[in-house]
Amino acid sequence: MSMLKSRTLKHVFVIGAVLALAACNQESGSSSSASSSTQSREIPEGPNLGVEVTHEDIAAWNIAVGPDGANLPPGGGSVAEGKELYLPHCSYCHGPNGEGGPADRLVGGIGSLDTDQPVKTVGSYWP
Amino acid sequence: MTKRKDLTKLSDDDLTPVAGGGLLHRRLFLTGSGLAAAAFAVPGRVRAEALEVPDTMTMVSPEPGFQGYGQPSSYEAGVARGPIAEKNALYIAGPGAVRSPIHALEGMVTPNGLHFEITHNGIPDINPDDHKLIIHGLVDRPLSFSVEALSRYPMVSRFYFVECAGNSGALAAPVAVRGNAQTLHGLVSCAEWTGVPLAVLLQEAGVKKEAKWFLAEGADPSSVTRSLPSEKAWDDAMIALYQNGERIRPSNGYPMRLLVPGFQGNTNVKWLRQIKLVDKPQQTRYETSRYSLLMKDGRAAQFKFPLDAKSVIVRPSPGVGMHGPGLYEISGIAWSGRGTVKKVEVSADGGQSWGEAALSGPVLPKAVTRFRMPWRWDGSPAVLQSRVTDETGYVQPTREKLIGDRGGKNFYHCNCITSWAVDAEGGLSHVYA
Repeated sequence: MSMLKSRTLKHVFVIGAVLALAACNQESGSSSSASSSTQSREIPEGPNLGVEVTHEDIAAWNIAVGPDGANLPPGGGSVAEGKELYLPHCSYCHGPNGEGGPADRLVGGIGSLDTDQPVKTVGSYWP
Repeated sequence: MTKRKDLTKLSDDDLTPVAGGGLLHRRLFLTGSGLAAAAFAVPGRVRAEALEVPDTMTMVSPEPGFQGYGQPSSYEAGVARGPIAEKNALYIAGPGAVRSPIHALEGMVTPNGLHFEITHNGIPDINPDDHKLIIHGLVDRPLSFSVEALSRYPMVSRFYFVECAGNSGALAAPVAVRGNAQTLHGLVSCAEWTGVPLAVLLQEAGVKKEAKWFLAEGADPSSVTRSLPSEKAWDDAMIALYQNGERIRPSNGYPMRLLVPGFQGNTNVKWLRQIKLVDKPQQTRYETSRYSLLMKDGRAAQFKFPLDAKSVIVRPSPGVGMHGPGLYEISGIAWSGRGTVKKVEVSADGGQSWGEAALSGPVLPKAVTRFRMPWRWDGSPAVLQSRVTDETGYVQPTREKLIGDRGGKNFYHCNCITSWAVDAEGGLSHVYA
């Protein structure tokens, strides 16, 4: 059952954006491009005050971690070591075992998404 | 001249209801012909109490005096956002929402101190001298902009609503939740936003052809990050620096926020720190676990950006009731993420019959539009509803249709018709009708 659900998650589909903004759908193969849009809309010229930054500068400044783990700092650890970190840093809001705290629960809900009581967690819902 | 001609068409017949339950012609209050007065005329008019000259007219009041930043009258203290979370042992400083008191406001503009707020992890206290917006990714020249630099760019000013995707989500519940206009629908506000068109900055950075999307990231401790179609950047997106004439409030993104008019609230990323041009959506937390629409079959829809047309009557409404039979003006707000409001209709009999409301201009695209409708209430129970039609021809759906089509598991983008039941005492409550 849980396998089935995780497979279902891979079928997350895209609507709305495609309908409203067909011109930008990367799958449509349309010829719309940023440069042609730029030309057709007569964008006013600014005072060109942007300061050029290097990719090295950006790498140090860009601290966001991608959903696929991209941009994570180097390192690793075991589940047991993770628990030692979870308890002081996360459990206050998310509960000692990933549920029961005042903030979002993190575990459970697998198989619940097509029921009347869907429980959306890292395990059941997030891709 | 056309307008005057229309007005002359009004006659005593216009005191005849245009729809069930006593709804009158939308131009009744505009005629100046005495018809409104006639409608107001009540046998046995209430006598005024003895008239007295108040002390405030004969003595100078020491308070409040001049204030560096003015505050509303102390008598308006009840007009406030809410609910404000109690800072008890379970209080978490980070995430939360406060709703705009739409039942107590008029016109189309939300005062800055009453604009709804949602934070995903608190309101960062940002010194503008330390803040930077960096545009990078699929560009010819990665660029950094200070607030001071952006303030020198050519700007545009536009009225736009911002609405949380979860506004009105309580209407997805199987039974009608007790609530009022503020608690049910208060996650929408409208302001005049002034800022730099994003296209100007993208042009300066030089966007590569394959950059079909851009990633916008906020500088709050939850790094709210959304993938947005580049077409929106070239269309009407802006980096907003001002809100109703003053610098954006901290809770609304100081010192700068992204404005993507008509798109669900969270995509108007506050405390904007980076725009990264990318070739495809990045599947961030705020477009997967949050703000995705869980459908009946357990699958989820993503990237549904524009907010469909919605309207709600705010006066009368629960807590803002009537005081005896007579003539009232029904007042409400309507908006559409796809353009202008074309028409608003009002029903006093639970949707059996409808009359067209007057739109109180200006009627602007992707902005709140005020509507008004005269109503002679005879003191009997009624059910008030409003439904908007936008410029695309889209008509606000009934709750039955909206929830029937997509199920009740998804509370985002809940734009169905709201029903207020009026009882014989003039009190109102939220019902499903």
